[in-house]
Amino acid sequence: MSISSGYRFVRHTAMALLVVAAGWYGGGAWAADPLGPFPVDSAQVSVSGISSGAFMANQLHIAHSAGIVGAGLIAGGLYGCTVDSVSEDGVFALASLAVGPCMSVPTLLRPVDFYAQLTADLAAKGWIDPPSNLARSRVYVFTGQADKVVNSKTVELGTSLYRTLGVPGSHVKFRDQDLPGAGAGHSWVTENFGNACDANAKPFINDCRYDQAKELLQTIYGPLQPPAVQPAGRIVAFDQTEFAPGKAAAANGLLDTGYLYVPKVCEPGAAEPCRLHVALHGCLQSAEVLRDEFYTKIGVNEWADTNRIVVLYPQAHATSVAELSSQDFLSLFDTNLQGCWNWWGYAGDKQFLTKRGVQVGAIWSMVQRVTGQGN
Amino acid sequence: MVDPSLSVDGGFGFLSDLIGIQMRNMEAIRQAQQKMLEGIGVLAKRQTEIIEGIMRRSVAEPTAVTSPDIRSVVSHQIESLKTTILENQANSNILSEMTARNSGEVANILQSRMMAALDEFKAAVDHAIPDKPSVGGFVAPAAVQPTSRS
Repeated sequence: MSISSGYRFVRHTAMALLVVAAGWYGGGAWAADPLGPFPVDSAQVSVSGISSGAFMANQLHIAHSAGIVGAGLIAGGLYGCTVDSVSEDGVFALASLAVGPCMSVPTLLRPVDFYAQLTADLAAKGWIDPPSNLARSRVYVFTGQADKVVNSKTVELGTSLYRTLGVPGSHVKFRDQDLPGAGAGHSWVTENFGNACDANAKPFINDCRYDQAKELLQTIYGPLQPPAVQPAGRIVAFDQTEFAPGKAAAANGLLDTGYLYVPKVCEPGAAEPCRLHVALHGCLQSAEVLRDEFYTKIGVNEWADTNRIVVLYPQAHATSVAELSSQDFLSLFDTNLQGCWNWWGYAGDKQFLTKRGVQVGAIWSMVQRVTGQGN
Repeated sequence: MVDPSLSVDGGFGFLSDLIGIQMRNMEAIRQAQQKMLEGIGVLAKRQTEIIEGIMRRSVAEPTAVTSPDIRSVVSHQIESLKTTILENQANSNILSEMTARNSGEVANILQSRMMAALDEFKAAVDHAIPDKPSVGGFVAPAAVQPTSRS
């Protein structure tokens, strides 16, 4: 009897521990601590991303151009690519524009003037910062020649849009060549981690013997100190739910937990303020899928360690129909089954590319929290 | 036997409720029609853009058949054909999504109104026919008077 109950206790305890561990490891239901402030200069905030993360980084940069000094866009990014038209309460965007013209049929993209006009229209409504702020930005753009997911022409057009919006040519670094083999597949490129360079598969981190983190960060911040061999800072898990409307993170494509890399020199009480870089994963790359691979293996933390950069890794969530606030026929268009960042208006967000967008707003609130400007 | 004031009040009240329900139904139908027309307008605009795009690209397309290298001619034609297939599929998807979204919005308007109308009708009937008939009998309005009570 006692043996049986003892066995049950051990079994239940083990199960409970497994559940807690699974929640932690998968960034799931386990509630992390609230995000706190760090000694960061709010005038030194930059953003980057790959694929849907690049489209989101682009949206963040253009929507908050007054507060972001530079952006790195890898295998994605053309502001308003999925927008068909603008209405009183937001934009009318289509998933079919995302998978069609934006990703695979660039001949159907509109001329760059269309996207420039869209940007001007959104700025006139006060939904995004004045694009004139972009003139002082520095931008790194990358597209691999073996990329079979997001067509390089879309990325090129995104670069043209930056120039049209007033970013000086000397502030834009566009890279699509000079890599070994057939060029990079759809991936964040590293010097020594990941798939073969021309792969287009999970984890979408490819070893091309090219230090993308270095070139991206140097384009934005200028010459950097050599990277750390082994990052000595700490990874902080934080609660993302407080940044979602009504704490409904899952319904809005946000994972419960986000991550922050804090170099030792950027801990509270540091003598000098640090910089903040926001790094956004792509579809199928969140902690739900890759665990800690994205926020520890893309080579950014090594450079952050020696260059006083705190790195924010917000996490998207794969949203199913059941998790949406309401279920009807239109819910089919509101899901986010691959855990992408919102660049086509899923979850019914008609403001996804502006300061009023749920995810743009959430990530910007995280930035403000880290820089000590938010609640 | 019958309280005339109750009967008249109940009848007018019920009629008034029915008219209110019908007015709201008409408003929902108007909204649905408007949404449908807006959808048709957006669809027509997109179709026009698609046609303009096709014409623009067909004019801009250089003729490759003059090349002496038959392989490059064939290769070019195949690439052209692949692009055309992809463009047609993408355009078809865009129009389908627009149509589906518009149909869904219209259906949502009508369905939610239909549900509300049924609830309102039930409430009106409950209001017009009290659970316990008043002393001396109750005459339900003619429109919903049960035959068993006639």
